Amino acid sequence: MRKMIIVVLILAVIFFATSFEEIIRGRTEIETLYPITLAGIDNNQNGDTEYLISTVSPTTEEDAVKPNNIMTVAGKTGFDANRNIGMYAENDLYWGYAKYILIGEEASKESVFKYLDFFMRDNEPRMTLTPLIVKGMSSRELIGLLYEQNIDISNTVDNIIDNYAILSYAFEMPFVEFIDLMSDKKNGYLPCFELEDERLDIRIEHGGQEPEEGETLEGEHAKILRSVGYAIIKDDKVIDYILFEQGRGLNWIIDEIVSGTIVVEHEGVKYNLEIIEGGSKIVPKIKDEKLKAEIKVNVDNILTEISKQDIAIDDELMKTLERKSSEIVKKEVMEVIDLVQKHEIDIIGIGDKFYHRYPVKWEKKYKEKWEDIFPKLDIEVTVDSTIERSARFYESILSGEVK
Amino acid sequence: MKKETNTKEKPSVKDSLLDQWVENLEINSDNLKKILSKSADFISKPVTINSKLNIVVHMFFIDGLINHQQISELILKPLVNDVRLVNVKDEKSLFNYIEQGVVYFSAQNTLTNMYEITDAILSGNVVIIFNELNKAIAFDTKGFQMRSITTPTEETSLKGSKDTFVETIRVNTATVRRKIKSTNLIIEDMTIGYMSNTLVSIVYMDNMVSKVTLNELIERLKSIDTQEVIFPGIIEEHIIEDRYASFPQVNYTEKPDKFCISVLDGKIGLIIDGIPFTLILPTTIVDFFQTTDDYTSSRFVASAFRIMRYTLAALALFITGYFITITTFHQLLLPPDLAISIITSREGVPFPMFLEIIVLVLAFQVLIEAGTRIYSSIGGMVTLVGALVVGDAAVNAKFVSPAAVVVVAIAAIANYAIPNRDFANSLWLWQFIMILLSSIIGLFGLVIGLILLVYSLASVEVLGVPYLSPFVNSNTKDAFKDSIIRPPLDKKTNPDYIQRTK
Repeated sequence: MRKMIIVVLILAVIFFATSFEEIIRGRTEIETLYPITLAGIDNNQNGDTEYLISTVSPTTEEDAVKPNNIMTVAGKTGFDANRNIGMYAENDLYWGYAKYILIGEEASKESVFKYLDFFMRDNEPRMTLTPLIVKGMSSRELIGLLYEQNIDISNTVDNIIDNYAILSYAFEMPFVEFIDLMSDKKNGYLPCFELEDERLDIRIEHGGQEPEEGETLEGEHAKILRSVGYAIIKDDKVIDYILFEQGRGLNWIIDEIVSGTIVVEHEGVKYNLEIIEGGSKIVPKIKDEKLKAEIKVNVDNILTEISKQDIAIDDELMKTLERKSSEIVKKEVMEVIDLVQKHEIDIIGIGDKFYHRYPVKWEKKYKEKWEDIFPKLDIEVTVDSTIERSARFYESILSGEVK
Repeated sequence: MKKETNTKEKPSVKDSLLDQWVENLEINSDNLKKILSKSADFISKPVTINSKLNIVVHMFFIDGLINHQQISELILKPLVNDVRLVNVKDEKSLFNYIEQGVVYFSAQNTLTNMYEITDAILSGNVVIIFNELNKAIAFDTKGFQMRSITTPTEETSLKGSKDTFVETIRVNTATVRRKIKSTNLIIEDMTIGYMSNTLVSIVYMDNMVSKVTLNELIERLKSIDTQEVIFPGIIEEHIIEDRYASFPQVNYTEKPDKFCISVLDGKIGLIIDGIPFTLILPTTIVDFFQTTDDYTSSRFVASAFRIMRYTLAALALFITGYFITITTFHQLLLPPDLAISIITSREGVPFPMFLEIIVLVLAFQVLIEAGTRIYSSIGGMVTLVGALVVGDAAVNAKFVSPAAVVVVAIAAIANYAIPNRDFANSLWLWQFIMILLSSIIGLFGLVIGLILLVYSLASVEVLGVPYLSPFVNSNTKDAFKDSIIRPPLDKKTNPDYIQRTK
């Protein structure tokens, strides 16, 4: 019994002596955290503080008007900038919840890894971050413009990335995978975002969030964040972008297609096909010392819309649609291949396929010369598009009662 | 120490009188009066049975314990009026006639010493002492007011029988007999408590019970040296081995159907006079998660409910501690959106999370305690004022955060879903230990708490049966049959530990 009392006493002392903060190490009350959900990094033209980090944190006051708090602070290094933010933050900076790191256009054209190094090496930001490239402006500007519109930035990025699959223009690239892709030659690609002016064909209203007085969400100020495709990185620098259908072209090659639409025009009528499944295979061939790669793409579609009503759908029409949709896909793929061959970067992994298929020959002969071979490589693309379900009416629904 | 002094306090004069038994009516009667007549309810009365021979007997009883009508109609009337008794030659043949049943009474006993006589009087018999004979006759004329059988208040069931045990032991044993009409049902009596002389019945099925366990229990009951058995706790404390374990080691029930199911399973039941709760032994942890309703609803539903009870027990035990660890040590375990809503809800609360949780857990228990002890007319008000008014005001005044209230409420409600209150209260105690440990070293503390809990549970044995049975001592599939999953009733077997020691 005496032992029990002693144990209880010791526990009580440890427990209730909370004024001695050191006794209980690692205890941080949750409300003393300043949780960062998204961050942007840019290069700063001003003097020697060339790293500029902008952080986005959700507001935790109950009657806050804006959904986010943003802070932008420069530093000599990324880490220095991070500490400088900590100086001004009302609470302890907490990177654990950060999901996205936006890289501004200028910075991305200078060097991607230079600016990502802090996020890669330090233990405060987790490796669960997803890097994204901003096209056309710095990340600071993008964050600022969205902040003015009372848009919850990290949520918006979240939604866009969640919806990637419905168009398959781009896909999320986790940090670890990106490092893996870039580790060999520092060539790769990252999904990119753009802030667009509101136009006639795009208009998005965020309901539920009151605009501040004197501010309007409409007209020339309204900006819309959207994902546009991939940024192409060569030698650690962004050199080009592949946008929209081109982005899908890259996804065909790397076998990442989930869904999407293909619009086929035939005799003045538009037929809309929904991609329900897509896959590809790269087949490397070496014949008489000559290298050749074949990319076989499979597309399964369903016919979802026809712009004219009284059309009898028969096998012949189906074949035509399949052929035409194949051509469209082939064009998308070829555009990407032409582009990467033009830039002389093998980001689609054809060299890898050769290595796996012919490891000995690759190591002996081609590995060293690959940079010279790749731009002139003969790449053949074959697309096999099938329409699985055609919603086939033998007579148009407008043709009256069935006799 | 205490017991010895109590023994010494026994009045020595009465002790000596108890040993005296002579063949003289007056002396015996006087002695009896000396022993008992200080009490106002002790009645002694001379009755002349045979006026021809002038045979006078003395009648003793305790007023209030006996049925007066039975005495006049069934005992006094034949004693005075019966022709055979009028024409006897002497007192001895008169006694023989009575012994052979001239008096129309089924429960009569011949007593031969003072101890038996005082016991009989105190347990509601009418005792008649004869002159010149060293014998007395006791008639069991118990007839006191007793509570009628009501519906259960502590344990409710949906489809089970609605009767309960009452304070009177014979009514209770009769209730059991009515449900188990078998020659194998044995009810053994035992008197415990040298002051209260409480009757305790040991109920078991002769063909099912594990004899080892039964003998052990009887030995332990015999060894109880206590003054009184007014509460079942005294018997419980003497039966159990580990007095430092916080979990209940005896299962109480007020429902005869539950009692009978357990007895039919081969367990041993104890019925104590004066207590409307019965004890079931041996007890294992699975018993506290079962209800009689499990056997009346679909086995899939019943199994799902049982699994839910285990889950809720875990929830009641860990959720508060876990909440502290994830909000003060391992914030990354929280989904970001939830973290932000917790941060928002804690905006302006000055106390650390663990203090808030501890205060709330205590406040909840205080409310329950107040609601239980206070008389029922204002009990509802206490809960209402406590929960709604004070709770709401505390949240508004930023004393506590809504997130903490929600978590503590989840733990409390999960705790109420455990069928056995004793077990649930122990869980509450352990919940507190988890809170303390986890607020010192986070998840590690929680794990240490879990290890302590398992250690504490695994070290308990009830009458030689491991408390965690069948999870720790069985390797056959059959042993687990009626533990977490409720089997089809035709495949239900007795607990593994009973089968093995039978």
